[in-house]
Amino acid sequence: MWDLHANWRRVRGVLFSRSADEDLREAIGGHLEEAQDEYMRRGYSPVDARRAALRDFGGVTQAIEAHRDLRSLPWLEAARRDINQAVRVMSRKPAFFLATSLVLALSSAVALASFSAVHGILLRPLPYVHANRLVSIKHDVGGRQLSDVGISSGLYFHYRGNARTVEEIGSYDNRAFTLQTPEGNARLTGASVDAAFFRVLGATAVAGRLFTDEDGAPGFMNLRWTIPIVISHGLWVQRFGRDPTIEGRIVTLGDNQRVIVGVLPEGFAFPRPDTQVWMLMEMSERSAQLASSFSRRALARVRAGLSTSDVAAELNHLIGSSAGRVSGATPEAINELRISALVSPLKDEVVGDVGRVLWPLALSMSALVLMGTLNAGALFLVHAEQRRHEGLVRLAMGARPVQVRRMCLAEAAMVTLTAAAASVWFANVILQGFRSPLFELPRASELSIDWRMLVGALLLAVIQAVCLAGASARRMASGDLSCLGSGARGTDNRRAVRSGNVLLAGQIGVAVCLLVFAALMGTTYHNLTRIPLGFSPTDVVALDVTLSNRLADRHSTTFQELIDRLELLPGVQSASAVSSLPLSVTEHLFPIEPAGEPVAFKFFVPGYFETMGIAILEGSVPATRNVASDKRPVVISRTLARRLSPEKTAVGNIIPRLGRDGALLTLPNHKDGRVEAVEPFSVVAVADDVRDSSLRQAPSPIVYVPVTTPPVERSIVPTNMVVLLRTAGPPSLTVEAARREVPAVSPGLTVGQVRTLDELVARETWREASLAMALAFGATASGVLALVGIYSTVAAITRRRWHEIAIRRALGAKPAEMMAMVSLGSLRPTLLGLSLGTVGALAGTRALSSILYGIGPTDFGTYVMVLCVFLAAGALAAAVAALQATRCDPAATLRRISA
Amino acid sequence: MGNRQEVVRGTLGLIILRTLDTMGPLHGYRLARRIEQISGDRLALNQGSLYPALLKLELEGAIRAYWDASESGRRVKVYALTRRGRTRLRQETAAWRSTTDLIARFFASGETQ
Repeated sequence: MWDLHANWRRVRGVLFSRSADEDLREAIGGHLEEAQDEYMRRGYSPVDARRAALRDFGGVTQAIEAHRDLRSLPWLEAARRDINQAVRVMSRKPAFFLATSLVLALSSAVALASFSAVHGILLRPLPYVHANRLVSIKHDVGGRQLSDVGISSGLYFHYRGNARTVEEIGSYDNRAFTLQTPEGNARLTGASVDAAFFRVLGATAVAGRLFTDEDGAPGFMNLRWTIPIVISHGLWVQRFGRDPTIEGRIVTLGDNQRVIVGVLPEGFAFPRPDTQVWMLMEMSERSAQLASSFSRRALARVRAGLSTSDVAAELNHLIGSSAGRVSGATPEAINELRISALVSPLKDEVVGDVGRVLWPLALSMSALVLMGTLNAGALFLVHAEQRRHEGLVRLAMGARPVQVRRMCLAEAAMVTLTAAAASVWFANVILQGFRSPLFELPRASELSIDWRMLVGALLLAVIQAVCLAGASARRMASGDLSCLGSGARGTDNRRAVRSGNVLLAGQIGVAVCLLVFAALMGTTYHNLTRIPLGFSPTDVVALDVTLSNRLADRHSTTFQELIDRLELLPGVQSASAVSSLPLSVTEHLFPIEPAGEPVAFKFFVPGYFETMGIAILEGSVPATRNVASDKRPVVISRTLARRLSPEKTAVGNIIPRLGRDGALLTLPNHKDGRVEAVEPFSVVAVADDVRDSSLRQAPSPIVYVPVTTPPVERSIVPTNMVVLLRTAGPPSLTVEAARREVPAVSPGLTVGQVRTLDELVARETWREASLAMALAFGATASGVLALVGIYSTVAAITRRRWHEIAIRRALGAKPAEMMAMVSLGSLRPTLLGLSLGTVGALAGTRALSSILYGIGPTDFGTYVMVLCVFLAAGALAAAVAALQATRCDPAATLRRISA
Repeated sequence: MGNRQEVVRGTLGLIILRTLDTMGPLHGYRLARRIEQISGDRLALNQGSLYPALLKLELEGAIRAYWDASESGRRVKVYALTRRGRTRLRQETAAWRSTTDLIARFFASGETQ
């Protein structure tokens, strides 16, 4: 313990050696004056007394030196000297210090932010108990052409009762709720979950409790029972002011009373990052069917030591053996449905396909780190060249090579550590950008620079410092003093040229790689934006409007009235409403042929096709709200029309009404209660195709159902509609007026999210756009640096061969020949760099291939274009630098040589 | 003066500790003079060599140093024994006595023969 204290005092002595020296001098001064006083008391003259005091004391300098040796730590002393020297050097060259630090900081920051995103989103376990054992269970139902769908109630209870590979299984579904408060209504994102849901995730409540099995036990739905809900930490803070007595509070969601039983901890974000309300919903075991709707999703916790494939194997076995144990499961039905279970880690479900963007982005950005280090290396070489004289003088004066290397290391470490600190700050700024809702990144709230990234930045700084110092020291301590006077020559010079060429080739290689990636991504983005959408998004704004369930019967008239009023607003050219927008999730999917693939049903208020700018190819769309009572007219998309009647017009076709299970839909007759088949749809028009699911997917078949009288059956009436306004100018002015108009039509109407269709379309391509922009930024930065590299190489060759150029000129060589002679010096590293870059790009584009659209990863034209552009730019840079050779005055140069 | 003796190597620390133990806190010059006086001016002490020895003891925690005023009112650095120093003095005194006893025995046995 005391050794530690002594060592600390030694460290302090080294760090504050000046003050320790002053301290000692003062103590010795006091000593000598005391001694002098005593001698004077004995009768000595002041001079003699001083002399006698000094004699008794011995050597003052020796005492100070001995004192200094004792309190010093040799290695720390040397490090302090090196650091002081580095600070002096860098303060004399602030431009060099800033340029190298900035190059390193920016390149590292981009990589640091990308890897933080990869780590935070893709690699870090989900923030739940036993996160690595959580899985999502989905199904393929081959017999119904359904893939990657949720779970049926029959299978859910079958698994719950019999699966041994999972400890717990829960189910959930995304929902939206309207919270009614005296201050106004608010749209909340929510989920309906069962009691097991929170147990699977191992969640605990910060206030109140979570759902228990008793909450949803059969038979306790009596008149006094209110469905319990759990709320998010954010909602608790914002809406309920962190009320600790929140448990038992009754709130109105939609038109129903719900009781809040608990609050989830901060950061709990499942199934969606923005879920605010979890409502208890247990499936009914009594009415469970093997092939009921597969819309509900399932998650489970796997038993320790078992894998997802073990679970999948067991579940598939359970499906095969469900005959007689699950209602509706007969051997024939099992064979016909061809259900197979898909089990994947829950993290994959949460994260989705964002890895397809993040991994290539992070890998490309690491190339930028390499580029930054290479460039800083080039700058350090120039710096070392300038200080070579100093290095060689030090060596000639007896300094050991290790001292020169240590000095270089201190300078390099000063630059790289400053850069590392700045890069952490820059990376944090970039991560804040990633957290913006614009990117819609999963787990964005969890993104941060954690200690791993700090350690990584520090390690990177150390590696960079060692590399830069190595290159710098080699240059500074190479050769001897004799080679300085006449300029660098001989093998030493050739080595410098070779290392410069390797650096240049590396830079060109990285630049070519990034240029190819950027060109491929740019083309992908361009191809995506050129896809015909089938509608015109410009100047159209969309408002989510929800109608209270208790007013669902008045759905048609309410929305008609709303649209009629909105059309009268100034600046509104046309208005309409639809149940789901293109490029969004469609909730209403129904088969139209037995055993056929489900088709999207979109409910629209007349005027939809004009507002959206969707062309009507055949027939005419019902324009009024009242149609003949015996007809249920619909419009279908061109893809569906081709499928229904490939040869002739689809207008007049009849579309039968089928349930989700493919059976003919029947409903009790209002008059006498007899069960009858629901009136089929009759096609009255064919609309042009629109990109409905995503830009990359071919147009899907759609049935457009007008919201007219008579209405379709109550069970499928959409109370959530999207109101569309086509405006004469920027839509922002109209939105506020529209918001005021909505509650005036009916107090049961609530406005939710507002966005323009341009934003909706841009969201489809943000990944490609941001990746293309990041790559283009990297490619431009590295391209410019590589061109500067070519320029400096040729300029250096010109300076080196200046005497030779003068002699050749004197002998009659033409300026153009001289330009060619010096320019060719950069040809070899350029060609080497281009080859390296091409090979690197061919290897790297594999990672990008899954995200490319309309262009292959080895697209010949792109590679040729990039190489040609780079060759041309390189030739130009070389030519500009070689112009110096033409300015050589042979007579003056030769006179100088002879002098 | 001619027969003054050099300080035996490694004993200056023990001498300082013993002096501070006897005299209480002392500044550098007073300490040097005290050592010379106790030795009856037989010890040829180079006063400057006291300071490295004092620093060593300070680093080892045997003494502590602080600034104070001397009898003449001058600002001087004063050295005082710590508890750790006192323990060490006890141990080193015992070890020294045991060594000198042992050596004395050898000389005593030589004289009797």
